[in-house]
Amino acid sequence: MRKLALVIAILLLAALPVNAMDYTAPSPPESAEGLMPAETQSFSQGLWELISKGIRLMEPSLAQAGKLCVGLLAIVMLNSVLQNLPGNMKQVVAFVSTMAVAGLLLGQTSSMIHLGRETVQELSDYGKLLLPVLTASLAAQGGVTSATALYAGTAAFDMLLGVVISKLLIPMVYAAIILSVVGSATGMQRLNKLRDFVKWLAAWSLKTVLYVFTGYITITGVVSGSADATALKVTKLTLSGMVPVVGGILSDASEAVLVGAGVMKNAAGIYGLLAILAVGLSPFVKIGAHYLLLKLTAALCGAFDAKEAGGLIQQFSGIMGLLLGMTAAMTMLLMVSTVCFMKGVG
Amino acid sequence: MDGFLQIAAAVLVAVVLSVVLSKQAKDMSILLTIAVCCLVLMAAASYLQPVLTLIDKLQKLGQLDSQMSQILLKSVGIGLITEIAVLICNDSGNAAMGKALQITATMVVLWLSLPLMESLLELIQRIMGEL
Repeated sequence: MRKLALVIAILLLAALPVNAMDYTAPSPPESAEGLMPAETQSFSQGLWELISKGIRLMEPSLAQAGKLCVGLLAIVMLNSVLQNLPGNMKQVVAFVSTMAVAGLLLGQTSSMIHLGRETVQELSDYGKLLLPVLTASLAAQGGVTSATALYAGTAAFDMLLGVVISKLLIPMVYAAIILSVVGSATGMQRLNKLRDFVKWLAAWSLKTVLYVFTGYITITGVVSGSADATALKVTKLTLSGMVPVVGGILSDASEAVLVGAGVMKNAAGIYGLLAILAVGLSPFVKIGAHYLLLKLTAALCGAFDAKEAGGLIQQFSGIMGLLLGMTAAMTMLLMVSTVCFMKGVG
Repeated sequence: MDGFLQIAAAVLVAVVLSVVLSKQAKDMSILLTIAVCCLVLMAAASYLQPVLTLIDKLQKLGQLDSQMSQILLKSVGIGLITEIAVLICNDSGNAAMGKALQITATMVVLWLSLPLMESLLELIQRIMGEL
């Protein structure tokens, strides 16, 4: 009887939720290691350090984008020499200029698409490493059921967005680029309509996935509470203004991140949040610099009466905006997922 | 500005001369038109030089491919010369010759831009291959 009681006591002790293991978040990918803040215990301090590094990254990114835009302006200025002549030669030279503008834009945009695609993949891979750690951490504190349910939900959305971006949106972006180039060079209005439809479909797909995700976190009520109203308002305004296409949706989701990250003290979660931001920061700044400067160049082209070239640059800035939206969406989705776990862990 | 006023005045005088000459010797009138156009274009080139220098600076800043900028410069040059030549042809009553010249200039510009189109096609093919 005594032996049986001893066995039962040992079994009960074994069943008790303990926190003996130290759950540490995985290291970020090599590309983001240099951006990781030194202070990873406090989210606000780490975030501030990341923002400072992001501002320093702006300079080389703007210089790279600036070179492209100056080259584009040179082509547009050359083309404008013929714009006031009455004959048909200006159309022929405009065609050649459009080809040159398209060549410059295609090369740069292609490398930005690669960057966006790699970032989404890196974020998805990092999420696959981080979420199980957070799940184990939550389960070790007794929330086995909620950890499993959370992991299933967040992993599903993470996978869904990753697949939608790499298999659907990136090909759509390429299709929109090719349609823009061919449409501008040939002046075929039907191609422009098709291009607009492809761009609309890509933006709609991205928005839909994000709406479903924000709906999911709202319905489950995983993240609730109140954050500092001013901080929340500022973040929401910044996100909705800075991120094209999905800025409005992301600003709603930012409430979840602010509420969770501000209150929770889970070290692995905070490290994970900062690592996610570090992965997304550099591509966001690079693509953002191109987006802004292409918008500026398109506006300047209006002064030179270069409709085709200006229109093409405008289209490419829209495509950069879509890329920016994709990168920001993946980053925010992973951050909200992490905060969901942090809420469970406390 | 002074230079431009002189050019404008010289052109107007040449127009009057050309109208007078066209009644007695039309061939001389056409020759006068061609000569004045050449001189005016040469004068315009001196004004265009600073613009071209600025464009050259922009090309260097933007690290544009020199082959691309040469193609564009040649296309613009061909376009300018063709437009003036076509107008002279039209003035002298030889619109057909002007049209033929315009078609030839279009062909030459397209032929010049072939490397641009080829590199663009290669880029598009590379993108299509990645899909």
